[in-house]
Amino acid sequence: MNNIINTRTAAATRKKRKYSKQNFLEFLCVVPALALILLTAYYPIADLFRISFTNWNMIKPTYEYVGLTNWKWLIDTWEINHVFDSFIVTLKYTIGHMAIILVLGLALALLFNRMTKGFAFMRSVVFLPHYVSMSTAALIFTVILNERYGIANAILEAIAGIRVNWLMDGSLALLMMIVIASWRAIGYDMLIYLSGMQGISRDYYEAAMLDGANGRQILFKITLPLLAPTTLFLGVTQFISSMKVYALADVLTAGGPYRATEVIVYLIYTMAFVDYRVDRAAVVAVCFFVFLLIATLLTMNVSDRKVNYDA
Amino acid sequence: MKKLISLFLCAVMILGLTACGSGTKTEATNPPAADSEVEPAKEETAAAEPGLYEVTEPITIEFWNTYGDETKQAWLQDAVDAFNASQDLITVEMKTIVDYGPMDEQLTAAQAAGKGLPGLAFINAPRVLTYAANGMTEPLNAYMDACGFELDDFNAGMMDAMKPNGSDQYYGIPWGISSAVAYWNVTMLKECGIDEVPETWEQVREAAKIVKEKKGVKTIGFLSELNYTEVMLRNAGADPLGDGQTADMFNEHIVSFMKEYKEMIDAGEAEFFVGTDQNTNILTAFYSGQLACMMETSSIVNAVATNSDFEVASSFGIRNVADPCISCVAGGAAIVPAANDQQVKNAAFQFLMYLTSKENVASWSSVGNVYPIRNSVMNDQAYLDNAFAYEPMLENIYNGLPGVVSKNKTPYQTSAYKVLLNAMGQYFYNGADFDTVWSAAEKEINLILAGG
Repeated sequence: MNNIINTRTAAATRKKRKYSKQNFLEFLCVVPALALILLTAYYPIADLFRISFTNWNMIKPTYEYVGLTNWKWLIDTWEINHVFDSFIVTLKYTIGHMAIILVLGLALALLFNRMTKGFAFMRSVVFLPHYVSMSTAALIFTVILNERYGIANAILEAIAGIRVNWLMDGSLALLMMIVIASWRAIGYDMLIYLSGMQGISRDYYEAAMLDGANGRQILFKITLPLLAPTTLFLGVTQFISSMKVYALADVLTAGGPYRATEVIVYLIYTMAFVDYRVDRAAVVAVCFFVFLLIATLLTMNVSDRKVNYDA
Repeated sequence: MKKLISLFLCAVMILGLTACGSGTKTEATNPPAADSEVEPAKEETAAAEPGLYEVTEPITIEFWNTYGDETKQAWLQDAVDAFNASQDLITVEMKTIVDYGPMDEQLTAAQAAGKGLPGLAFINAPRVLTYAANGMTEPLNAYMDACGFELDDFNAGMMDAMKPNGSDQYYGIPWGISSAVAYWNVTMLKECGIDEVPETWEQVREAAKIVKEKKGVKTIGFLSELNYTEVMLRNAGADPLGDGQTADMFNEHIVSFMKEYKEMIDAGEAEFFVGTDQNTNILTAFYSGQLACMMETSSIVNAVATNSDFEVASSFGIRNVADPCISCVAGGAAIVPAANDQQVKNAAFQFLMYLTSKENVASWSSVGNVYPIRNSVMNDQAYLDNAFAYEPMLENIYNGLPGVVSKNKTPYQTSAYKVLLNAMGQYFYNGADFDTVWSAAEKEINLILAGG
């Protein structure tokens, strides 16, 4: 009996060793990729956190550790440091942008979800702006929306006899940012939704139709629920990328007028490269990072419970 | 396996932090460069060892400039080639980084990385004092003394802009200097019955009413940019940044000017150009006859003459409470980054000496449409005759050149003006209450000026 147990134990140990060795070899295979990620993603984050405790300004050859001074600055000058204002501007932009691209992206996907050549062409047309870089788009729209010689006002004047100061009115400037970003991103969302729709089994639709479901019921009871993982994916990725908007604010409005479009990444950039306060920029960047992390974790947490992955 | 990866990740993160920590300690123990207490030591060394600033072995240095214009680039390349051919030890390699913003970014990135700095760089003149305050630029007095730099021949106002408050050290040499000047649509003025180009602020205000009445357009406009706003406000009687340590925003002259200008804007007589396309807008407004006078840079004098299909005149500025009127140093300056090896710095200064020779200054001023930085060029009648024959508008501008002064010398001027310009825009166009917006701006600017 003891011999049998010993033999089994030895076999289990050998198997365990074999797996350990295999695991170790597999681990070695991912080490280069892991090292690259650590070096390019995690190390900068860790270093950012460290910089927030220094008085480094990038142009000074030396710096010292100043403890919580920069964090204290964030709190002490809360009323005039514009960080919160900037955060609100970013949030408004993100909500507006996401609302447009998710709703219209889905609507266009529903519209173009037919595999004919004509619709394929239409899909390409909608997707085309995605190839235009954000800076280029911003530059083109700066000309289009110019109050004096822009084509938008020329058309408006010809039709209604009015001129609008698109980029010099705070609310309008932010709206224009949202519209331009959405014009560029909508094709991408449409495409992702389309691929999500292609993944939904035809059986569900056939069964629903046999049961006498109408188009509205099919949309709300089958398509949308089964597109929930796609919506979640788009929601999370677009939320993060919208919160990080920079090029549009830089080229189109330079954060103006009167800080109305000063989004958080633009604020961080100006703090670091115009004011040379890298230390404070690091504090704001760390806060921003933590906010994004929490927001993403919360979303993922909700998605685990609410999103249907059965499609 | 997960535990193993977690441990590995933690270890690498901790290692990263530790490595950074130890490196920094070493850096932090280095004495700060270019601070005031270091300067006398350098001067003493220079006096004792003039050879310290000589180039003794063959060396190659980089020279970064900001000029995208082909003519200017070609001139600089010729100068580099001529310098390289004129001696055996120093080879200069030119690199162009168009515009001051990208130049700032690349310089600070190289400074932060601790390598890749050029031997010589052209930067935006107001940045010189910001860099100097942080020890990034080399103080040049010792080099000037050792190399026989003809300091007295350089425009005093422009050179003063290269010295921090309370210091005798020069941290840069002006190069490509221009300033805000006024361009007038004379045809429009004449059509309105105004025969003389307005010279004083009072005359501008009177002209504005007539132009509005007869032509229905605005008379005066300037950009919401440091170079122009500072000139307008300081000519109005006070510097809003005060002594550079405490703001003087509620100075009666400034308050009065702000309210007058707001009245003019509301009456459709004036404009404060804002936005990313403000420069295009002011030029379009002027060339299309929608604006009688624009405050713009002196360096576009030829372009204004060429593009205006009406009679155009220039003046050094608009005389207001400050009499005679002033204009602040704008444009570029050459700096020698302090973090380079001594031999690199010596070679850079030798090249700078060559660039700023009388012949080169005269030639560059014509090519670059910039002020001659040397008095000997300014006093050279043959040079002036040529320049005025080529562009007659230069005469009025050059007549005011003794009025070129340094900008406010706080190293935080760019940051402070960002707040100031924002407050001006809010008051002029966004319906903000003056006292509220101005008080908030003053509070923020004082914090900035205090280094906070």
